Amino acid sequence: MTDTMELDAAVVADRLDGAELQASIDGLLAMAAALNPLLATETDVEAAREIGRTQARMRAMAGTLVGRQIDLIANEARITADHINGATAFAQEVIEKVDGWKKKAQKLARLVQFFSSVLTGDARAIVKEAFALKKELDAA
Amino acid sequence: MRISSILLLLATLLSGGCANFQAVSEFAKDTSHLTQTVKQEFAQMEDVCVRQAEVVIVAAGIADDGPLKACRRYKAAQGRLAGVTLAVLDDYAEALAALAVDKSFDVSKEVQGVGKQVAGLKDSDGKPLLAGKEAAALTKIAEVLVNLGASREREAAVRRLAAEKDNLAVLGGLLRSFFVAPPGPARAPYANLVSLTASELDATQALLRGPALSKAEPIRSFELVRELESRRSLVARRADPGPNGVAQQMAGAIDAWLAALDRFGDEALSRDPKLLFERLKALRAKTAEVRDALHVLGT
Repeated sequence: MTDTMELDAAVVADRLDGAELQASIDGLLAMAAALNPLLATETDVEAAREIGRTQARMRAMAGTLVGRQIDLIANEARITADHINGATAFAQEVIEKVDGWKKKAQKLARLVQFFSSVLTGDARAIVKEAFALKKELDAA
Repeated sequence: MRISSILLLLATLLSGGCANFQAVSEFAKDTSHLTQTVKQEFAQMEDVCVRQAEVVIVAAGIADDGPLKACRRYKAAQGRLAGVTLAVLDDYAEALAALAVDKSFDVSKEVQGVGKQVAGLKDSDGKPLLAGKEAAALTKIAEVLVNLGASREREAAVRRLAAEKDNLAVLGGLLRSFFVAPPGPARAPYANLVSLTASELDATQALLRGPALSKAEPIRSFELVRELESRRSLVARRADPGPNGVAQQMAGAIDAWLAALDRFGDEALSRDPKLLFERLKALRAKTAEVRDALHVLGT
């Protein structure tokens, strides 16, 4: 994931296909599952439930992407499934190395927000959220 | 012409004109068994999705019913598409069964309205769920079934239905694609639903077994863990992508049906449909395998 991107303009009928986002679906599920060990040690009820809710949000987002066809807004940047899958893989790599539930939760929340923008097909919003995600992932 | 020659000609004409409806009856019955098995599995997965969603909502204190909405969303899109496909195949089998015993047949309301249903099969963004070829196959078979009521000639009606082989093969392929995806990175809708279910099961159990909830609410946590545990083997078998997993077995049964369908087009009214019967036997064995697997899983 780089700081700068140069993308072609999308044309009408350009779309992100859920089938091409399978790597992101799997990544989201893997990140949700990676939180399970935290539940084995977390003693605070509300914190444990918050972990459970975060996992549920990640699964819900993964489920939303299944079979989805996202039309890209024409004349804006042509975002591809590779861009989205790349961002997910980068996020997964960073988040698995992060210690502490709260820091992980912040980054995961930003990742879910990024995917909410992906669902809109609005490249401006997607790119904006991609940079916000990168900033969050780079933060210690 | 001698009397014996006339009698021989008459016998030949009579036997040639007397169609054998046994193959029609068998193909109808085995098609129904297959569609019932697929329906049973869809109903089971929906049930698992809802039950598990209810547990995670309680365990994690989720306020917005999100996991239940995910189950409903799946049912409204992929589930509905499968439902329409199965309804058309069911009516097709019923029409054949009725023709085999010379009884009348009523097309279900669902199939009568397939045109509208196909047009309405859209995802939550309003995008069509069906490719043009699949939508055309569904509507064509439904149209043939609706128009069949006017036919008084059994053999002609069976031939008309058998002639829909190519469109039926498209529906078989559509049904198969729910369980096993073609080669490529994407997984089948069923495989994704099972993955989500398995992930939810593991996470919810981890939450309930963790020190926080097991100490704060020991009895309820224990009960909910037991409830989830009862579904573990059911989900594991469905998550198995190998030959013993439900998805591959279901695909195997659909493949056997497609193989039988391929012969049905030619041998529907044949006096000795040897190859068709062989393929129907293979189909029965495959369907029984799936039914056994589902039964073992407690369905």
